[in-house]
Amino acid sequence: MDLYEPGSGAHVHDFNRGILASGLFWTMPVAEEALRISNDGRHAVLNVHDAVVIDSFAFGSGAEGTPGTVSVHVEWHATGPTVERGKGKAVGPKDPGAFRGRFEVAVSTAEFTGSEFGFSFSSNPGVSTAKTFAEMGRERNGSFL
Amino acid sequence: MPPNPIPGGLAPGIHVWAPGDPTVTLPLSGTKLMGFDVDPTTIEDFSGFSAVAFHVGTATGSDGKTYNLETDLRTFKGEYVASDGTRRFGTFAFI
Repeated sequence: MDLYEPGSGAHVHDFNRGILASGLFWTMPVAEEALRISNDGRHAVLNVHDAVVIDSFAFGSGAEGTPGTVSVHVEWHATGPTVERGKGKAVGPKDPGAFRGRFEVAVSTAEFTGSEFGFSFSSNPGVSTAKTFAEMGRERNGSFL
Repeated sequence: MPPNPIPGGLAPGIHVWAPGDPTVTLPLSGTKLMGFDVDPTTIEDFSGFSAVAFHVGTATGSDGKTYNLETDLRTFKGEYVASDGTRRFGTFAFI
């Protein structure tokens, strides 16, 4: 979750979960009820409150981060048909296509708040993926292929 | 026990891909999405629900400034093989 100065465009805050020693990237466990998925799989809502993160200020900057928290409310609504994705075992395990899935292109809207020492923020209305990308679906990789 | 990371990734130590429409470049970070056949999850040995969203908008800081905001936010729920080799079920947020 990145904040940029409007004038200079400088990347000034990067709230993320960090990287485990194993290499697991920005991924944190949440309560099962934090993610609700509709029965048809075409609508999902993620609610996370006061997740512990770090503000590393700018990705790859090498600057030491500072502890912080973020809360997120994110909704996904599928807009497209279900399509097959991934190449499975036809590619090596380090290939980006090393999975099989059935996904729908989606639109997503979100509300965020965050804080760290001496700074906090709240997202304004209108945060969305309307001009970027979102998708949702079911997939399998690794030993599940 | 936590899951294992996917073995591939954008760079050494960065075990994540940028899935999505390859005509899209995120406006603030300049990240170019890699295509539709790109794994959204960060978890290896995973079977379940995945969702990814690259949001754009603004936020107001406690300093009174209006910042431009960009996210790479994901969520995963399903079965996985944990780092101790056991098969487990979990729900995850990628923030």
